Amino acid sequence: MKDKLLSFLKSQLKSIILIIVALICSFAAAAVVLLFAGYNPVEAFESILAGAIGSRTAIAQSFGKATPLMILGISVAVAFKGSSFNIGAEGQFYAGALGAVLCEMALHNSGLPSAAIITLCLLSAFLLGAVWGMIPGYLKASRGASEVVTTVMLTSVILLLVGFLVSQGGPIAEPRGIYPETQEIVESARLPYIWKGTRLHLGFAIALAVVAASYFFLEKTTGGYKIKATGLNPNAAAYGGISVGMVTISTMMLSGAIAGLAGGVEVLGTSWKLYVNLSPGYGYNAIAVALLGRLSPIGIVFSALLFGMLNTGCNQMARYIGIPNTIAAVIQALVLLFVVGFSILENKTFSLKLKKKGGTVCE
Amino acid sequence: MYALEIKGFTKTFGTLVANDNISLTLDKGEVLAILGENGAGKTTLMRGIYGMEVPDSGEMVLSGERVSIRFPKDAIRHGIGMVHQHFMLINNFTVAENLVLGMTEYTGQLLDRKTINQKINAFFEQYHFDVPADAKVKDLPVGLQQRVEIMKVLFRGAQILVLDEPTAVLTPQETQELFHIIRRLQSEGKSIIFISHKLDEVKAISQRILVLRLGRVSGVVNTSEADENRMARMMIGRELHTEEKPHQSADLIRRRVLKVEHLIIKNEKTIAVKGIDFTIFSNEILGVAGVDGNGQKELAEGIAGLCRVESGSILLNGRQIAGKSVKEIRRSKVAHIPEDRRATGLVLGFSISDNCILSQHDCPPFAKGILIDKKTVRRFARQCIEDYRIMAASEAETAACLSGGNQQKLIVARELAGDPELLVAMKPTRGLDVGAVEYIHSCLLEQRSKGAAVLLISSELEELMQLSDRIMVMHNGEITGIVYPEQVTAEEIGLMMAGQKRPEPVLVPKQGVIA
Amino acid sequence: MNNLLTWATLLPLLQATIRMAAPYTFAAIGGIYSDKAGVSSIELEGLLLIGAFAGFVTVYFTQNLLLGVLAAALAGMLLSAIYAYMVVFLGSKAALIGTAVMLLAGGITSFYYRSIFGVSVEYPSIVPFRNVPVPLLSKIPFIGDIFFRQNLLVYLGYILVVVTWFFFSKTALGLQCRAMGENPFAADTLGLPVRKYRFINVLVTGLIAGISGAYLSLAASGSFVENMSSEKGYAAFAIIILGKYSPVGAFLGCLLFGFADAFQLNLQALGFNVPYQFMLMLPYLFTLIVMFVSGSGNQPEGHGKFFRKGAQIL
Repeated sequence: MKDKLLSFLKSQLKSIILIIVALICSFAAAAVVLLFAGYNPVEAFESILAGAIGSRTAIAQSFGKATPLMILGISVAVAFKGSSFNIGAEGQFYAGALGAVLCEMALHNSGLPSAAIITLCLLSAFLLGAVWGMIPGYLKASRGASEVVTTVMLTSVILLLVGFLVSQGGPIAEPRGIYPETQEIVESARLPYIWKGTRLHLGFAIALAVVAASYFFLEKTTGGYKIKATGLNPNAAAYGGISVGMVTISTMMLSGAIAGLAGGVEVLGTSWKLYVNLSPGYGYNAIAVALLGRLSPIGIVFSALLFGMLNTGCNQMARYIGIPNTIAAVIQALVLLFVVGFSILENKTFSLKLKKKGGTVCE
Repeated sequence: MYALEIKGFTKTFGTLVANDNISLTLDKGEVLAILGENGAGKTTLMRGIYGMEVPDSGEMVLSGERVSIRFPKDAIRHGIGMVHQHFMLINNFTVAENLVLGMTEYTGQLLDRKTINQKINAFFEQYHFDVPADAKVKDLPVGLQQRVEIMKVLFRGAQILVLDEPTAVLTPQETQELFHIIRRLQSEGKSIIFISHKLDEVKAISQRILVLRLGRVSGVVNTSEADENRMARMMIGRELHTEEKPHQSADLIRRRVLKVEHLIIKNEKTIAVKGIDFTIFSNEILGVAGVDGNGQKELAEGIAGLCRVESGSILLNGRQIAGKSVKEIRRSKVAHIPEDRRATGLVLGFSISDNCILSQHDCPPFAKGILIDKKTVRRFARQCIEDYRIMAASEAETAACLSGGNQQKLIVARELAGDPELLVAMKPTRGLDVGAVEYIHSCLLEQRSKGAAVLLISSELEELMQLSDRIMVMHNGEITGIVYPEQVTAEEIGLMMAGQKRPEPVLVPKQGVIA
Repeated sequence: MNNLLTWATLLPLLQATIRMAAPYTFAAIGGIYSDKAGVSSIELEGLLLIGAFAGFVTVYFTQNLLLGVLAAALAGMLLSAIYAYMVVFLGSKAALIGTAVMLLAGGITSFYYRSIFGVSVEYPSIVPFRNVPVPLLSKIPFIGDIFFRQNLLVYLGYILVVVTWFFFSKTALGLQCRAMGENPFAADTLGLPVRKYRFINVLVTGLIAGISGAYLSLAASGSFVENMSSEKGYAAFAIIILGKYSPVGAFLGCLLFGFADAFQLNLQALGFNVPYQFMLMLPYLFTLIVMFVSGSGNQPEGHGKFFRKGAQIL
């Protein structure tokens, strides 16, 4: 038992080291990008760090930014486990945000208690996200259409749809017709703050709950078993009596639903209204979050926090020393590349071990 | 002077020594057979000769000249050609395109297909091989594809041909034709290395036999002096003992377990199973013989629910299972050992315990509602490991870490756990070493004794002859005969495999009373 | 509405079709080089974006359009080298690296764009490619007006379609490239260096897709906008499938997409009154329909199969 624990830790230690090396490489590469543009990387990184954790407010803001990333990271990870590559979490996020806003509008003057409104709005977000995730799932299961393409297309569609709905004088735009956004949601629909003196809201706790629930679902239930079996080997899953098509569709539905929830949380907790630039690319960042967290729920918590800090820090940096905050996007893309690259390295030593044991290569 | 001489060839993968200091010689115009069971290191050796694997140490001498072969192109340049067990042909290209691929010095940069086809057809005529050069490879039957593979090697000017298990996909008659070709090539002065694990074939075609065991040369003998027992000892380290199927008494009462009627199954391309009828009884093993791709796979998958049944009926104990889902079929006590254990039978990334419940994960006792009872699963996995002597550190180890034989045992353990009434086994011993093969055979026979009906599909005729109560032969999606193994020769089965129908199929097992 | 089908309304529509099809054509033809060699062309989006940016910046500072196209091609090739290395040599999942490349291109282009030009309301712009009628050919009635009164890049697109078709169906090298996509293991046994071929093919994809990006900033608009590739790279990926992996089929698919774009632009002129967001949705919905209709047939057999040699590459 002790040996097992030790070897487990050892294997984890290796991944952690690889992740840290990947992060260092990403920041080094980003430094080169900064240098090319004539900025001082040391100054930039200092500014990012200060902006991310320099004060109570900064930390709360980082956690706030980490909230959607955490939920979306889980969304992407769930799809990954089922071997679907959901790069449309961004779109499902908007679908969810739309769902929450529509539900809130219906309940705006209902006078229902806060808890009921919030629950219903989040449920609505969950459902609309599920619908938006189901379409690519269906296209993949029935027609073999690459979910990479279909989810991207559906993201564009929902962005335009939201753009139309909230445009000045649009169907759900605020009644004065001045801004392209919806009316602010009622007080009772807003998520309460959970850290005194900051704007960190209940959404952060919801995100942690989503993480815990996803862990439980994937590890302990038959549904999680089906998703993982399908993801690792669809042929074997089908042979074992699992309906692969149905699992693919429901995996994408679940992934979309979780992403939708993130959108609902963002609307109810942070923005209080829906507009076109609600997400600064959270759905895409989430891919890096999920992979940096190695698809494990606990890893995703940490990587989401890290990226939350990165985003907050970069925004502060842009404000104070004028370096474009899109460097955050560059860093995240680099992290994605390096993490994937290094994980291959890790797998290689793994497959070497296999050969030793099984001698499969000689066949 | 030898055509080819190999000295001290060693290749290791991690700690596994696949080839340990192997030396061999090959005369000009000789057929040298390399005999060894699965995992003995034959394929590694051949890949080494062909430059697909670079040995850790050892040297190669070709016609007295020391050469270094690090890539296949080196081997081709030195006149070595290889016919792979899994054909290295491009299905969507024509025969001619496959032949000239990469030979820019022959075709020039611009492809004049008309001239090329003419030249290739002329080349084929030398070898009395009449396949149009512009036919697509995917449209050719397996036997001809192999011929194209040989032609491809000859076209590149090979003087030494390596044939890796070439008979595995052929009928006995096609094997004879292949032997004709080999003898012909031999008479032209070409040297041939013939790899096999079948003693009788090796005896028929070679002049000398080199036996490999556990990566080492365990002996070289002249074929004329070879006797089977001695060869078997060299190959597996002991006498080969074939398990006899236990005799069944004449008053054994048999039920019709599986009754298939007018079954039609389509795959992506064609109608794979063309309206066949047969019955399997309890306590019976029905062997299915046939060249790969004649509908056996679809038949197995159709019964297991993995292939859509176009029409016809599949009755299990009188209940219709055609068109039912895999899950429902498995619930009615049908077990299935698939053809490819790594691609289909197991989720390699899963632990042994997770693999143990692949088909039962949502039934009790493993599932309680939507929850999986990990404790019960682990206990069951440990039981499987113990009962079937699976070599594994623990049930938490991933299936990928197991050797081929142990992976297969894991599948068998899982499938037989529910005491199936019908077992569909597709090539259950493929690629296993002799010990594992014997073990799987004993498992199949045990199921037979226990009263199960077994559909055993195999490309190893010996295996079918040894285990089956009746043998059903399939060709082109149809049944060409059902026979008692004691009453036919391999040649007769070969004829049926090639499509010759044998009248009066035997419809019931020899012993027993039909209930 | 009844003037819908007169030549005067149809001609601009068809001319726009050709014009709008050009970026798809470069992207799809470029992608075919990857796909035929068995590497998924899911990275096109990022290549387009980096091409658009590199082309624009170069022309902005040099005023030389051809130099801009060259820079775009080079930038596309450079970025595709990262993709090719990760996918062909390391065996990473193409979809993953394709996304990373897309995100990297998005980040880098907007970072440098903002670094160079700042964030302002007014877009810096350059003088884009002008239409140049082809002598003689442009005189052909109807056809000439539609096909041969376009800008130089459009003509380059035509040439590429023909050259690519010729390359894959008539040359020995093209046959070898296709072998990499059909059965890399067979190609290996014939002594052909699989990964080298695949790598180079992906570079060619980068080169051509970079020009597609250049088209967006140097011919279609004359300015650079963040994320201006607007999913055209993914659409091209779908077009390749729709065109059954053949250059000519892909070109026809591009014309279809070009028509959808042109139609959307001309809807208002044609008298339809639909919110512009819905018109902009058309190409995306169209891609979805294409994905639904064409599934994934005719794919080379070894498509997406990672190749590595024996066990020696560790």
